[in-house]
Amino acid sequence: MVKAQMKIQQTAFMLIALTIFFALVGMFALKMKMSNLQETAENLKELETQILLGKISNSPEFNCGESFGDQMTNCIDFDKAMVLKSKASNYSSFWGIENIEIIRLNSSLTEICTPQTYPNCRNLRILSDEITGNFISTFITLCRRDSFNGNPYNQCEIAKLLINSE
Amino acid sequence: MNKKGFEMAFSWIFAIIVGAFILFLAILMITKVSDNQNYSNDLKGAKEITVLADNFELGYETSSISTIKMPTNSRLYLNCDANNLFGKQELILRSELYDQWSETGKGIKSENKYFFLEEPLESRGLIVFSRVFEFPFKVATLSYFLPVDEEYCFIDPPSDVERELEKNNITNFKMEACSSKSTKICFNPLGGEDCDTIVIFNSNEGTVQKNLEEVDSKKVYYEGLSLMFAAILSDQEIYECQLQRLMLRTNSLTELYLGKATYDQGNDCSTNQRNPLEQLNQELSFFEDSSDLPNLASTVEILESNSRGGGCQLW
Repeated sequence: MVKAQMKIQQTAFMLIALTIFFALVGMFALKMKMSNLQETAENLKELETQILLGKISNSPEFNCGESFGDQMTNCIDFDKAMVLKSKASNYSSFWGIENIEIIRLNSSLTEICTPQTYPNCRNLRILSDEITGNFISTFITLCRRDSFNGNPYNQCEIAKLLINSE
Repeated sequence: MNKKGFEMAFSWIFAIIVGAFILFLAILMITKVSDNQNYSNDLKGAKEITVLADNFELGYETSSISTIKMPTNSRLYLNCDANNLFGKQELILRSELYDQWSETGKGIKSENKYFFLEEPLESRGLIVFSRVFEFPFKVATLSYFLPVDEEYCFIDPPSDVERELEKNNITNFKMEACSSKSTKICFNPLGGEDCDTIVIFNSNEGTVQKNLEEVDSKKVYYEGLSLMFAAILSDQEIYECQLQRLMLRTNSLTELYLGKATYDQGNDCSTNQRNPLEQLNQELSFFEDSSDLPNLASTVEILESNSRGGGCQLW
């Protein structure tokens, strides 16, 4: 009887050990799978951000259109971008990105663009005033209207567009 | 001898029962993991399509064509929600594996994309035809999803539509030698034609009526070729919802242009667009469905003719 009980106990221990072993193998495999999935999601997000960077200047919220004469490649309307900043809360989740920043390159100005400092400013942060985390950038044409002695003219310059994703 | 035999049998029975239980748990787990895998593959597929759609965003071009090959036979579904500031759409993908369709789960949501399709769109390949929607300024890029193996027969299209069809050269779109299986789209029919969809086309505006065999078949209204294609190539519910989302975006853009007009005025560059923009902004707040489109047409026309008049251009 005792021998039989010992046998059962042996079998039970063996089965428990086997179950734990396979459970561990299963969990390890699952973790590998999940890390692959996370990597795929991160890669897709990165790809999305890169494509978006190339395309966001075509978005009607930014694009110069024919406002400054003929259509230009990667042209952002500075005035429109400034108006967009004042409505930033409406657009917080629209492009699925954290922030958009425009930096004027050939400017000696250092100030952040606000309704008070515009257009005599260097950095325009659109969706939020903070720039955190990783961002990617591209060069754009930045245009706005100006006037001299009561005569309006178009002023275009080179600038950098930065976006950072969630 | 008998005692030993019983002892062996008991341990075997015990091992078999517990073993079967463990096997059952393992099979259950594999099924769950496999379901999860299918679900994540579907989610990944939907995300890939949505990411690719960023490439369809048009700049100078007025239209473009892309083809997407799917790894298995797939079905696309689109949930559309026109609430909140811009509304949103959710693209859901279901794939076929061993004659079984994966479960419908969550899809990929986006606020800045406008997809049009007939649910469920089932195919191993998709053609994505994109066009810019202007009202009268550029509002968005619309993407129409078509199965590669479906033929659309355009019967007696007006010259504007014919030019557009020839320009894009989509193999699914035929104007002659249509097969009997093709979806027949008749333009301004005189009666007696065999049509699946009727388009009334009157200088870039009109109505589209689908599902003619159904008693409650309804007309939807359109303005311009982009919305006409959207109405032809999508379900009525999707069309109406996406149109509402487009009008929400148009409304936001009118506010941006009003802000830009203020900056222009400060730079001695006045515009005559302020009043019609305010008018459009007000009219859009009453927009409910496509039947309201003709009410907006006159204001849009004024904005368009003003923008051709020279001076300080807003867009």
